[in-house]
Amino acid sequence: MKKVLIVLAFFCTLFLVRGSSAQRRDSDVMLNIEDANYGIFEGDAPYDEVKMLKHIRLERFYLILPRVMREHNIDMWIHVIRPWSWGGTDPLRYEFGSKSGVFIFTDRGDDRIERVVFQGRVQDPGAYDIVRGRSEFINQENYEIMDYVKENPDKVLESELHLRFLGLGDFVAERDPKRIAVNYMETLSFPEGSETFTMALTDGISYTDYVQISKALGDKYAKRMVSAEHVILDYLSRRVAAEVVLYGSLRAQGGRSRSFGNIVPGVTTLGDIRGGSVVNKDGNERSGDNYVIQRGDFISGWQGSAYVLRKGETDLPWYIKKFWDDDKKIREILRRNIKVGPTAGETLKLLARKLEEAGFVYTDYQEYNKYVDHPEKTQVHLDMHAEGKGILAPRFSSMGPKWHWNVKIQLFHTFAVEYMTYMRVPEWDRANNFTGQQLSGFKHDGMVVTGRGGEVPYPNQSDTIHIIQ
Amino acid sequence: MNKVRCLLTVLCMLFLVQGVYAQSQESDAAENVINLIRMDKFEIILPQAMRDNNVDMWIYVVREDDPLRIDLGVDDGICVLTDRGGRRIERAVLGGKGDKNVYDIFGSERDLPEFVTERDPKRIALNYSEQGSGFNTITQKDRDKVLKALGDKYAKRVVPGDFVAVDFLSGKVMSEVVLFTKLGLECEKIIEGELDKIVPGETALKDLSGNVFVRDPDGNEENNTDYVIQRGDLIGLLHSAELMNFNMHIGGIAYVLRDGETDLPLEVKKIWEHALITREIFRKNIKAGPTGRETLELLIRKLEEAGYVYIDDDEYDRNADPEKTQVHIDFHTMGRSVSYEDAPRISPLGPEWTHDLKIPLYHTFTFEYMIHMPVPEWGRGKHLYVCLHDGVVVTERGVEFPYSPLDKIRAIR
Repeated sequence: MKKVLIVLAFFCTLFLVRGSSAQRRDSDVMLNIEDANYGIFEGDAPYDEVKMLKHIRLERFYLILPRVMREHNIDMWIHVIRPWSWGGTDPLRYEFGSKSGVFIFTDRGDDRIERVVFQGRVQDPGAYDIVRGRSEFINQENYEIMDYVKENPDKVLESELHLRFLGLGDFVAERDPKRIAVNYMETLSFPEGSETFTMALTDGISYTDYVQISKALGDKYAKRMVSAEHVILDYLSRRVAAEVVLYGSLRAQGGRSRSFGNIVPGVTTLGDIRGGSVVNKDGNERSGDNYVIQRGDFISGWQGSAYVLRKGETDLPWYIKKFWDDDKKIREILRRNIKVGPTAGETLKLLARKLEEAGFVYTDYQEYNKYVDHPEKTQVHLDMHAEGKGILAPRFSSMGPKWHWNVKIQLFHTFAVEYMTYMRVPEWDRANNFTGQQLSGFKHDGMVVTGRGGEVPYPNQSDTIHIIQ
Repeated sequence: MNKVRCLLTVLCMLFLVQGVYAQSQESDAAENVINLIRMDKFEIILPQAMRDNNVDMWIYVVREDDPLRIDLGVDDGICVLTDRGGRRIERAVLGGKGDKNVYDIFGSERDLPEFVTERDPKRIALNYSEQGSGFNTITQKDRDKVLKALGDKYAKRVVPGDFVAVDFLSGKVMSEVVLFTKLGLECEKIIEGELDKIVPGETALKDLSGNVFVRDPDGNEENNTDYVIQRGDLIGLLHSAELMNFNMHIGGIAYVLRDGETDLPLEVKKIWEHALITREIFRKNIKAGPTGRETLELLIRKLEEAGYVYIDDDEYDRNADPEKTQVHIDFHTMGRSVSYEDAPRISPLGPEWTHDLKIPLYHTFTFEYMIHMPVPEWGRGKHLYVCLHDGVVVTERGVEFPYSPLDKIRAIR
């Protein structure tokens, strides 16, 4: 019996060690940082996440930051992550590695941008030139304020609120910027979409912060403040190569195909093959782990698709073949026509035209329309939103706010190849009393836009169909 | 006792099944990646490679051990790739099996004459080389057979196909960059693990896996020998990781603290500073477009402007200015098992013809450079040596690090 206990103790220890190692890894990364990254860090990363995140941050400061500031004619960018919301939904908390602070980026003329954390804490102080600045830049989180007040009784202000941006005025004056971008919103709206929660986006500071920053800067520099909304959006929508790698490797990690090799029609259930749903021979959808797979079923799901041949069939029926051929054509059209440069809206128009030219019906709505002029044509709906940064823009879609469409496609833009297809199957329609029964499909793979167009950074899960005898 | 056995049996079975399942999943995943890369290279790289080399048909006879077998997706047979206009290249395999997702046409080797005549190509690349490259793969027997099948008219249009092969392999698709990085990160883990094993005064270089080396202040090198690592040694370790036809190797550096030392000594800190300064020079000056030779010339000039001495050999030059730190460069391609030698290279090393190859967009290569820093207080000619070896990719913006490059010299206590 002792041996049993030893064996059990061994395995318990093994699992405990594995568990605590995983916990340690998670705690190294800032709490809930994945919120800002659209779930990209939820996978089991094959490498040191903290190191990779720091590296990406540095690459972005090096490659993206100067470009964005110069293209927007901004020589100082002040971004305030308000401490009392502890980061909340600030979209740049991963980019800057912090959930609280005042970040000041100044273009001082050479190749790089000066990076300063004025108040607050950062995950990676090495990424900044100055953290917390000189001694007069006081952080309200510690005893320095008390010391300061004791040492400077003549400088005590009417309200402690005035200490919030103490020293900012001198710091800015020393750099004498002509245009200062600050994170408040002017035109962009909040809405995101079903696949990400609503973030603060560019709406960072409060009215109080605005007033206090203005006071701290003084009239001369307060007048030079402009909204940073497009700087923020542009900074978020650009990617470095390391982010494409992260995107590709984590997505590949999460998407392993399933095996259809052991399916026995009439015996195997959907639960046995890790779920999914089927469309049966009459075009009706069935799902649930207990459903027993039948001949004539078309099985689809995130981990691959299969068709179970009916008795007498030796190949796929016409509608499955056409559905698959259509799918390949659609993918090719999407891939061929997405380029760096145009806006998402311009690209959507182009894609819709190319789809129509190829014999499809493009539809703005995510549902089958049985009243179109050419019901025999396959209908396609697109919702190709950005992936990897917590914002959906640029978004090639009829959905979402207008600014989603106005954002230009940047180099290494990573996005979801999300589209829905609806193909009429007349015999199903007849069998279902002409209610518009059709074969519909939903695809959600990934793509990156390079200087050559659309490229696939990791294997798609849905580009083959298995035939089950 | 039966219960013990049952429990153990169940646990063993559980681990066995999990292991087998995990292996098969890994293998599927690897194959999916390789298939994706192949598909994308045919779609994106192949048309450009053929058009840049002014070739409208590329005939490649693949036999059992051909280095491009996996890249072309053909085990044995004649691969005929034809530019018939339009965006893509027509792909046929005659007399063999090929990846069905890639090839449009399958036929017999006997079909070759008619197949070629019907397409009437002006320039036909065949897998041989006049440069002495590694892509001189066709056998004499196969070459004779192909030329005979083509007949006089088309045999005259045959040219060496090695440049097409070079461009096909050195042009990278995004999924290759992803794989390149994943392998680099695997190397990094392995290197850390090997350096963990070092026990000063006990561990010999040969006890560690990889290419492990130490140089003394006169530049004499111990490389994977039975030399026992001593306190005060600055150790370099290169290690590789592979997946099918992909290969990557990177380097790590460790310093073994002397008794009483708690941090890296000043001279080691200083050589690391030189490593970072020179890395920045390289990064700022390498772009897609120029040849390896042009880039090397530019880098030499920039190094010298920054106060360094460039050296062609990885040996300390005793005739150079004794105050100046010397730098050697060998930025060779990385990512694939084949084509290390036959690819764009920013280096004095390797075949001459490769120095005139242009650096393509998304070229994956290594920042391999060696710093020889004089330490005058040790005596004339005495110096310290490090070798850096990281993976980089050239994008529209210049050099990018797809993963974090070496960020420190590790101190071993």
